[in-house]
Amino acid sequence: MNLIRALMGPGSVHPGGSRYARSHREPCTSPPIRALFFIASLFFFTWCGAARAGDNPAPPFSARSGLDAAVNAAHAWATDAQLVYLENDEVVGPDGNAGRWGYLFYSENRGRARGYSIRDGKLDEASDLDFELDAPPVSNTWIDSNAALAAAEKKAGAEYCLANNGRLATMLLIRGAFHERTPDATTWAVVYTSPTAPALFVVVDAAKGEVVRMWRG
Amino acid sequence: MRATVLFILLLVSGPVARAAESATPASTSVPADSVIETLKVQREEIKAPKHESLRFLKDHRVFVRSQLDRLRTQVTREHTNGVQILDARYLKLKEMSAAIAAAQDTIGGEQARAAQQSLLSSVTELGKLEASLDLMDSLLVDERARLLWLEKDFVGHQETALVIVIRGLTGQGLPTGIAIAEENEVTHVTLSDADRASLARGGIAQIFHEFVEPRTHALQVKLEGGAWDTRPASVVTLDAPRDRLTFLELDLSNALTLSSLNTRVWYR
Repeated sequence: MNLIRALMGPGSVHPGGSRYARSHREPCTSPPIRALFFIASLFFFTWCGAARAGDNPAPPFSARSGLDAAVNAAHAWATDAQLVYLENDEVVGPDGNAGRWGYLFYSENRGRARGYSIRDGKLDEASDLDFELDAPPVSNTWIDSNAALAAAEKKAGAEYCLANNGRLATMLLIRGAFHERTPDATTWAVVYTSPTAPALFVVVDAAKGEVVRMWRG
Repeated sequence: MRATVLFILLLVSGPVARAAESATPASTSVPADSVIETLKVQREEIKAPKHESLRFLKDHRVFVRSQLDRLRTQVTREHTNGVQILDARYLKLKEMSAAIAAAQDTIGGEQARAAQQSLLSSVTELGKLEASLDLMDSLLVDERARLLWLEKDFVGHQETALVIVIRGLTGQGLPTGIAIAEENEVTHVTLSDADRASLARGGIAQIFHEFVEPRTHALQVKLEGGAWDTRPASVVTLDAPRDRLTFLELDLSNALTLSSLNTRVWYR
């Protein structure tokens, strides 16, 4: 409470009532000290906020850069684990990098899927998927998130964002689910959203780097 | 009224007796290293993750699953018997094996000669003895070089693993086993007679050595058997760094009186 009073200055009245009004007999905090106090409290609250939100921002990296750490963790869980899905866990930047990527592995032996979230080259979170997902393993060769995003932006993404005040919401890699004509292909799906228009899905062939499908919905 | 009660008792006694019979444990032998899978239905614990992951998949699970349901997966296996490049380390190991055998022969020869010469008859023979000692020294140097190579090769291939050892059970009732649980995985370790004898003499026993995920682990450790059954499980939290061997030592000397376990963690 003293902090609030110090910030409000001498003679100020709290909106809550006169109870918080500074008495003229109270020693008055000098302006430089108040300013110092204000800056210190600003730092303190900013630090508290950052700690609550979960720490400092991690250096962004591409999806493939985090694969090694994810595979290493998954093979400790199950030696037959195979990558079946991945998506960004934090916002993807215009260069196709994100601070965190989530990798989902499936083990035939265990009959389960387990997700690994990689941040700053290290395992940040590991948890079993709480529903069944019968997804085939993605192919070994797939273009990185940078190239996939560049292809999607060039084809339609940039235009969509400009016209609809949209933004890139999700990038995900999966095999078979988004490319009906060639279900064997592993594809990137780049999802854009807008407050004024339906979402835009841009599907990029992860082997060739070409946009193969688009739809709104 | 009495007849009705008797009738009800008769009806109930049959199934109860059958249930009691079926509850009697059958004498079956289970191999020591077998995996026993049990099914237990529990209400799911809602554990909030530190950071949300795979949000799109979870939010659109119905859509993604419906797309995947329409797929048919065909697995084709092709076997090729092509020539493969041999790992150079195998050749090195073969060379080392030959060198060790040669060194053993040399040592054997030297030992035989030393046995024949009980007394040194001249200064020349003293010189021969010095040469023999030099030879032994050089063999030891070679051996050390081989050991260093093997250690370097081994350390270079270290994967993330956890080793748990226990100690401090001198002068108290030994547990029959230890259960180590994390999430839904429970590992029951039964202490062998050799382990128990070693622990009773103040020794250390290794109870766990497995590959683990490189992350923070919260292990529930429950000691089983005798007085240990009344002791609640303790939670031990430790970090397992990637590609390192993490050792966890559980000191059980005061475990029966303390609620937490004394632990020590080190890495290699």
